[in-house]
Amino acid sequence: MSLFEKFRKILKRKTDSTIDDIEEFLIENNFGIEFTERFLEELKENRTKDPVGFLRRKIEDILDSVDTSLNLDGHPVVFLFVGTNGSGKTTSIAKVAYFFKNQGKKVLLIAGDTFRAAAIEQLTKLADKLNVPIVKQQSGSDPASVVFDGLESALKKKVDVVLIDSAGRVETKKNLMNELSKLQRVIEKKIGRSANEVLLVLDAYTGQNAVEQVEVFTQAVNVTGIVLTKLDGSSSGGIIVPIIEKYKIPVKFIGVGEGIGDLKLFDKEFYINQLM
Amino acid sequence: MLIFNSLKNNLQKAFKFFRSKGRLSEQDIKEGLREIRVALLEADVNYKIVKEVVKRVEEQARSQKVIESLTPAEQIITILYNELVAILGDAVPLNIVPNETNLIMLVGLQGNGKTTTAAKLAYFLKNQGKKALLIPFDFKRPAAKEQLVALAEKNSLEVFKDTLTEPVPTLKKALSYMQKNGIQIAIIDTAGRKEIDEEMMHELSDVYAKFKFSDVLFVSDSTMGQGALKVAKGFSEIVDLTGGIFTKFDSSAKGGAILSFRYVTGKPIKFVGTGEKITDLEVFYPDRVISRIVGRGDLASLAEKASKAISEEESLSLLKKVQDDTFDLNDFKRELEGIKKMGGFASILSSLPAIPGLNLSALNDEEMLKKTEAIINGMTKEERAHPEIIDGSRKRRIARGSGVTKHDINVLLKNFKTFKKMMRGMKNIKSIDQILKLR
Repeated sequence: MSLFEKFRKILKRKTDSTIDDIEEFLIENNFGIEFTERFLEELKENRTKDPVGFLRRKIEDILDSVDTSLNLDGHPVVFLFVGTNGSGKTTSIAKVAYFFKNQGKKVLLIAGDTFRAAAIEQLTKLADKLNVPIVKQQSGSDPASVVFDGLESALKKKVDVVLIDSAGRVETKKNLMNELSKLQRVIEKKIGRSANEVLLVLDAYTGQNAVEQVEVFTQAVNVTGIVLTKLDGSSSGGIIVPIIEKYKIPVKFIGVGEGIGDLKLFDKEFYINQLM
Repeated sequence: MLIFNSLKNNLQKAFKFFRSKGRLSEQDIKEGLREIRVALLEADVNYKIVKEVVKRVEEQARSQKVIESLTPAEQIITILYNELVAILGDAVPLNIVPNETNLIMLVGLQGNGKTTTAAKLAYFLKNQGKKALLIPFDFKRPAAKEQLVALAEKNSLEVFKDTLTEPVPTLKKALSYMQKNGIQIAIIDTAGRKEIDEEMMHELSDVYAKFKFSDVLFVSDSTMGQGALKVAKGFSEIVDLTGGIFTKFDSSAKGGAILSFRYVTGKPIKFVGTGEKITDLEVFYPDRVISRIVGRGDLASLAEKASKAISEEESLSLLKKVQDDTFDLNDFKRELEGIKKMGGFASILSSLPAIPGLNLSALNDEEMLKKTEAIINGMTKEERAHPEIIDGSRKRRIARGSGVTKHDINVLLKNFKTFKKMMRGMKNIKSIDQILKLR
């Protein structure tokens, strides 16, 4: 049942369980207990007759509080993708490559995940399919050196967009987080400025741990945006609302399917509609 | 291990509230249970489960026995412990039948760790003297087969490379390969799929109908939120799951998905993935995990790990050194290596009963251990045996040699002293019970 239907039903019934049902909806969509309790307080104080509209406006306000447009200043445009294992970094990179290629841009991929078995092969296959160049080294090599080589090649070839993959890492691994900071420094050194976007790839199914992920990754690198993947599943990615509220980090892309074209720039209407 | 840590800490707050009350009034029970409820919800435990658990704990907490008890808080903790253990049930092993063909199929969403887990499971079985064939069965994700093959080859595991483009013929072929080579166990690494993807779920039910599987295991990421329920349910409607494997047990996941799995599917969690190494797969013991969550520690697992990392001889010789006061930096280094093998300080501390005011996240053990090792390696034999001779100029030399600062060396020497003092204190403690009473 969609939230709209659910709320309409609630309103018709006008029972004491209204608050319970709204709470259940918010909790089941990963808004988290802190956000949920706060919202329910506001709802009580407000005494609105239209809780759906009230929630919708609340979410819209939060989503509107950040700028979701891509930073494309400078040449080449450099995006670094970071995140935990299995969140969808490699797949998202292929989709972003396709996105820019369709705009007539020259794209280059850097296989910065030298850790996971066959991660390089996976990205290479995707690059071949898209017919975009890829810079890689052997599995197990130093990611910083791959990024260095890749950027050098990008500058030489005068490509427009450079997309850098990195190995998935669990947020509790301090040394792997330091490795990410190093990648950021290599980028800064090589192009004389920070990457245009450092995108944290976040699985829409993630629960409250997403907050820790944002917290730890933003400490290691200057995260500029989120790629919210797997939004085509049964999860609505409600967790990003409290994250945006707290960290002011916008969602820049959303993954809405398994096809190469199934990555969209963040679309507020789309997000809210699938959520509610 | 940091998983469940925030749940554990939040529950401690509720317990502290109960403990501060002596006898509990209706209002006290209500207030404390509210904290428990918030703690469980904050940890992504399914909404319906939280409702039910809190209701059941409340019913029992209102009983005469609890109200009249001198330690009502401890009673409530026990009630909660029992309820949570009941939800997770007993540990259940794999359904492997000797001298028969055992097909173990791993299913789940994309990116939850099936391929890595498949290799870890094969390795786990190999360590038990059971040969298992890994079958790449993901016909969708680019390089999924290469990933499994690479993992297999790196760890000397059997892998079926002769796959076709379709699932059913591939499995038929693999089965005849198993027969020819006398292999009785296969681990099938299927493609990640969403439970609402009709086409992919149909493919799965087709394969499931045509072969007999000894285990169908749902592989799930521990960081999954409330949606875990829907996904697991969706899969269990298509295939009869026999259990689950939860990955990223080494993250700071809240763990609600783990606590919810059996309730939703009726099936046990059989393993958890605890790291990136091939050996990082552990049997899941519900009572131990719950014990840790309610702050009673998990001494059973700790003792197991300790006996694996440090032999009895080693610990005896260590004890003697402490008694003779000849414990030096060489021993200290060996101890640290043992701690590293056991998963680091944070892991050990999280297995101990809750110690109020101790902040685990502040312990950056990986780096500290590495640094300490580098420093000790940079010392001479004499310096290691007699740390007291390390003066300013020696510190400068060691710092240069091991790429650290003088401050790092001071920290190490201070740690060494504290450790030694602690060890001396320990020799007076006769039993583990006494350590437990210290809290």
